[in-house]
Amino acid sequence: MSEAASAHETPKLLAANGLVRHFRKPKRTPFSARAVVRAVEGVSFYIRPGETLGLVGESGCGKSTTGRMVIGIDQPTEGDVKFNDVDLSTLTKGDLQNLRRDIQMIFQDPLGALDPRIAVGTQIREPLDIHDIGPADGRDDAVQEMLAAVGMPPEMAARYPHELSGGQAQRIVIARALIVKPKLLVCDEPVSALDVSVQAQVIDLLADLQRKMGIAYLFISHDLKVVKHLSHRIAVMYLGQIVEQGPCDLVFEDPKHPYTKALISAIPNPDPTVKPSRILLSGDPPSPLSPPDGCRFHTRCQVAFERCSNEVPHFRDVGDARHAACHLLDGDDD
Amino acid sequence: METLLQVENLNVTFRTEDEIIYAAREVSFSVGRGRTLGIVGESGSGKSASCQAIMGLTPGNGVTQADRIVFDGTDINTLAESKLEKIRGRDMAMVFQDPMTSLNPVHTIGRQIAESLRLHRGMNREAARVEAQNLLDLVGIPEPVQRLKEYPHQLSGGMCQRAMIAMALACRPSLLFADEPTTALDVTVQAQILDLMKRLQGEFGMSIVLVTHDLGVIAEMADDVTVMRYGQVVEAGPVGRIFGNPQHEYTRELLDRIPRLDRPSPVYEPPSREQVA
Repeated sequence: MSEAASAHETPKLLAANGLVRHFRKPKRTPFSARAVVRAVEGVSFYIRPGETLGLVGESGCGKSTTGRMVIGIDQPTEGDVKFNDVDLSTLTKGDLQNLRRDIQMIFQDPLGALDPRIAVGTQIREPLDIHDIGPADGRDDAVQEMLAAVGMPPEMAARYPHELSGGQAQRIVIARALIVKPKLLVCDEPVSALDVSVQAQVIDLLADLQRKMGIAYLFISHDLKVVKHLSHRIAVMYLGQIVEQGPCDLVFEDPKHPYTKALISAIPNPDPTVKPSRILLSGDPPSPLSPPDGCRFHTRCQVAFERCSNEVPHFRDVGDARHAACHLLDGDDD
Repeated sequence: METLLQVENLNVTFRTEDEIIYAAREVSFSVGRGRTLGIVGESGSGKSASCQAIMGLTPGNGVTQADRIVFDGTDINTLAESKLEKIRGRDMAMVFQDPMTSLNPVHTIGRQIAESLRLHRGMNREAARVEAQNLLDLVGIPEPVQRLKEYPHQLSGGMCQRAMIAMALACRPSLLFADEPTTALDVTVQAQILDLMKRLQGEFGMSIVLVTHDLGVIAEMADDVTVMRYGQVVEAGPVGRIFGNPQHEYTRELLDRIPRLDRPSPVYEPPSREQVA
């Protein structure tokens, strides 16, 4: 897998290979078997410098767990994450902290991510102090620069988190993450908690900063509209696996996997003149405690046939740098 | 078009220590029988406060004032709480955003649905159980007999929302307030719930007041739209006009700025793509 992948690629900033993450639940009685939550089951992707990979899926599909493994705060059960060809699992705690200069992260709830008792300027400065970047007397200037970059007035530095709105707080969190000039920013649902008009501003800000600073994003979201707006490539996850991956525009124009099709068609279109042509999935996603055999999507798939319930479809090249895992896409060659 | 609900000059205020905050200011709208009114706005725009006020559910520290709130020919604005209680839950019902917290965790689904049936329709225990089972069946919950005995935590979010809708519809209300009914749900489940609401509206001929911040949901569900901001109505009209020819600056901005699938996204060309070629 890794040999084949490396053959046609440019330098990758980050490569995840066959990530698996199982969580063992506590035993309910001393004699019962341990239940295993198969949160992530064989996920591979890569991110090139300066690009955005959108990771989409419904709640519980394992996208956040994947994000946590990428930044090294969770260890994969199997598989590895390589950042600039360095395997994260081989790093010591100290190395991992140094890695924070290159990989930063932001999460959904900005107010939860800020310390309520520290002025935001001090919080933005903290990463510089921790990593001892630049001369100490120039750091406050760096904070001011960063505030300007995220579109906040200089006097904001003296404010406390409770004085900020959600959108402002998220800008502060972004400033704090980017002040160390990372190469990769993992964004886990960064705009989901924000109002729609504020959402648009923060998305534009992220795009703008990417252009200026050349940062790569792993953008994790359940909101396909936001992901489409921002991503160069996307990966669609379902129940712990990536079912489709490819350039963003192409995937939205012509989705190959039945799940991607259903997911895209489920989004209400803000145009009342267009009648929705919807693929309505039945039921809820199955539990990752006991995922279905064969293709994991076959229990809700409208075009499933016999083979889908027995045989796991493998991730195949469907042209145009796109990959999808569905038996219907299999040619006669296997 | 016959008007089912007419709200004129509704004000909802909350008194804090040093000021009076208007959650809704001079809000007026009407809902036609069998039609869906979409109320769209961001958080704090007063859309939920208005709906709660109409149902007489404004929290204790809030004050509701209105010139008139006419529901089905009766002015419910001046109605005594005891009379309003008879209407609420029977003729007008509500579905909230978070189904998990709207349901009582210590009672079974069956008991919670039966409660309204026994209260408003005077059914006995057995009849209410059978009707509750029918209702669960109606909203597409599989194995309704089994589900009646289960507690909210045993159901998924989508299932809980279906159960909430079943409860709301128990007395065949003529008006359903749906306050962000799908916001907490995944898109594929949202599609199911919207589809269900449309189907049930067709079957019962009820009116729906749909409160949401999602313009996509509005476009799909609503006949008429009221856009709210800072507690005030900024624009109102039929859905085609609001989306096709928005008059107010805020509505236009809302429609232009939201990320949407039907428009090309801005091209943020990564530096690496050229290097690849």
